[in-house]
Amino acid sequence: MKKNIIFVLAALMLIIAGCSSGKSTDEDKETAGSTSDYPKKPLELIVPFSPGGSTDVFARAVAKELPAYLPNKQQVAVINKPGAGTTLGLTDVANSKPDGYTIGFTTSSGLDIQPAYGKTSYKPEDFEPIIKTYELNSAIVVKKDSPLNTYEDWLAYVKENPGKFTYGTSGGTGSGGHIAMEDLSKELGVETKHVPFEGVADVMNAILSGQIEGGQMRPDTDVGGDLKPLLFTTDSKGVTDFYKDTPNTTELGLSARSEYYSGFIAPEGTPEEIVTILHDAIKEVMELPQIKELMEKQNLVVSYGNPEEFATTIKSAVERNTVIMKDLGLIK
Amino acid sequence: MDISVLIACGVAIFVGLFVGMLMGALPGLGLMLAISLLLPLSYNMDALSSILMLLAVYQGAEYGGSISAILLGIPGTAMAAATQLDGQPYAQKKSPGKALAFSLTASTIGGLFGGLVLIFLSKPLAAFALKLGEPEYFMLGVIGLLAVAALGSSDAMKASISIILGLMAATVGIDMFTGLPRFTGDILELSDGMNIIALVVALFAFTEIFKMISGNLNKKREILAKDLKVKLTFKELRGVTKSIGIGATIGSIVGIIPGLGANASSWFAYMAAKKTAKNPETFGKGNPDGIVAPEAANNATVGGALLPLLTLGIPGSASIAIIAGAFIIHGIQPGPQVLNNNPELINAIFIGFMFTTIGMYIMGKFMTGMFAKVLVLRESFLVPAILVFSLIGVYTSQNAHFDLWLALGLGVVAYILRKLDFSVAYFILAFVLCPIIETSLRRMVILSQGEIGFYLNRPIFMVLAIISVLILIQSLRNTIIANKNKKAMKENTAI
Repeated sequence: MKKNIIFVLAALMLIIAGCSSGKSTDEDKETAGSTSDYPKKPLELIVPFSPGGSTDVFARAVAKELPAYLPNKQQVAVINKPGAGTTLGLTDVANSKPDGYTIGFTTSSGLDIQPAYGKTSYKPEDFEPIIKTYELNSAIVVKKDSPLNTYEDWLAYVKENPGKFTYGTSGGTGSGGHIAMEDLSKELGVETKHVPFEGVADVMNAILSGQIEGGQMRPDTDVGGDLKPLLFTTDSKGVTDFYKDTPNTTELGLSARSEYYSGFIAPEGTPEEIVTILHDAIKEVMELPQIKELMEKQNLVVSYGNPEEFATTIKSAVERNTVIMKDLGLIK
Repeated sequence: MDISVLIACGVAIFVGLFVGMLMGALPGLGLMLAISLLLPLSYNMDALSSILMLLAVYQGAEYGGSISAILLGIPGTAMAAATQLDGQPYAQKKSPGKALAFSLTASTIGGLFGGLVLIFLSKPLAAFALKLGEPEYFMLGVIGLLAVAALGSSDAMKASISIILGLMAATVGIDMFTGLPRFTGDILELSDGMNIIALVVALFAFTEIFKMISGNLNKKREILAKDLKVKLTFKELRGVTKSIGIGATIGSIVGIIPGLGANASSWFAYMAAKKTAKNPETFGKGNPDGIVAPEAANNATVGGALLPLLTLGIPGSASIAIIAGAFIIHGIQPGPQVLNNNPELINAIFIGFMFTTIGMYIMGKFMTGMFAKVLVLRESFLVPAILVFSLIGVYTSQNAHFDLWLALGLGVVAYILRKLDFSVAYFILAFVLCPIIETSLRRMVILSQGEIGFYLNRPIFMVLAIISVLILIQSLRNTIIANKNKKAMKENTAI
């Protein structure tokens, strides 16, 4: 009976091996060559998240409208490649052929935080930014009925009680929220305590049940929720002007600041003409009323950037994060 | 709720029941394989229909097991072993169709009863659970594991090793408290931890395939194929209502207690029905009471077992742990918050749960004959079908090639462990419970700021701590007694 097992194991391996090869054979023949008739075949849009999240929903909405604005009306297929904090999907984008037929849509951390840890096979420079689309807001939040009502209240409180203010983040240690909060605490010379959580819902529950005092995340009193902001660490305060009276760090003249942007990227070496074609098409799609409505509903703050501006955003974020992460001892 | 949701749920329940009954009926395959095969599908479904599908599998397999127990004399699932005692003789002496009808009716009533227990107890229990903080969750998770190890196992040492391996496997990935990778071997694909679908398929589907291959693939079975009409008169039903009641009650209670599960509940119910019967001597010779009690019990267990999962986030058995996996895949951490944050989801699950039971009755009534025919299917047909289906499932779950290798590697390891009598069920349970235990423990340590008063001021925490100590003492006592008996036996044989 041992023979049988070996036989089946061998068969299994063959099946698996069969799946892996043959991926890139026929595509190699069609070279990017001339870009004048681009695109000649459907595009693949890699989304490094599971289906259903807000990033995926946005990417799918754009992919649906995009063909009408592309030359030759080619279709755009969304491929979800979740895992390893977006780096699995981005690795695929970085390794794909720079012919304009594989592009990616991503959030910032896979570009400006994860590569700094040195675990990814790509670097932030391995991409051609196509277009920056939107930003997210994030703030120091507390429960709605907390006695802390303003940034000044909070500052006085944390100065008086070093180490007592516990804040949750949805990404854990080394995530954007944690880095931003530690950076701010350092600048203000106060001591706060980080409690990592997995997912926004868990942080929210911990704050509402009083287990932790606050969080570094998106406030939601503007949509009827229970988390009020004291100080935004992002320049953006949300899609409406509901929070116009709550300060952000830039307004207070503080240098601590976080940025959560999203955008479309292509692998390095993608011809400039193709990047321009994609940029122009996506820009037109972003102006569509249904896309605008979707963004407002999902609290995605429109933040357009052309390829050069997007590249600058990424570059400065990488530089800023690397310095802070070194400061915090997260990287050497 | 719009019509497309209803249709999606209906189809999900049908698929779940069908696969559950089929796998439940086929001897040796059973519930865990059925759930493992369908879990990957849930990745591309919405949360509600995928959870209903898995619950339907659970219900269907509980009944399906009795089909082969009655017609073949081989229980299709361990849970149906008690059903066989009276089911097979009844089928031989009287009518197989009637025996199946007793089983089906009892399963349905048991399932509905378990569902009602779930619905009525979940709100109060969840309201209580919302007061619990990190320390209490830590203790609950520990109790969940201790209860399983202490109550459910014959070999405490191997059970403990299985649990420790499960706990270790769950720590693979980036540790969110330090941001550092653990046990990933610098493999990027492992930084989110092991894909639970690859793990479940490896543990339950691949090991089953390897087991079948190492046996005789072309074995033929024979069934009692006459008179398969699944029908019962009202009078016959009335005769067994008491035993159904006993079974359903015991089944729901046993379901709630972590670590006991359907297997134990059907035996408890059988014993209780026998004890309270007027004619206990007819048990084992084809008494319908002996069919209905265990069948009502094992289906009532399903509802009962969901209660600690939905209200406390603690899965009480391996199959429930996999259903917890379906929640997690959809970004929902089962627990008391679910009832608050997603009340419409939970209510829909409750309603759908009742429909899975009713669906089971309808399908059982009209399709049992078909399942009976499947019983003679040779394993040489089943192996490739299961293999292909599980490979597709693993790959499509995340479009990750790596997962196929992971599943294959884990499958080989798990097969060896199973051969050596280690428990893959405890492994998966520990795997699911570990994140609760570990993160709660570490957050609790951060929050306590090193002060012992933080713990002493939490009465629920202290009570739970005492319970866990008691479970430990009890299992220690059992081990000592067992060792003494063994020693005594050895001395006796020596003389």
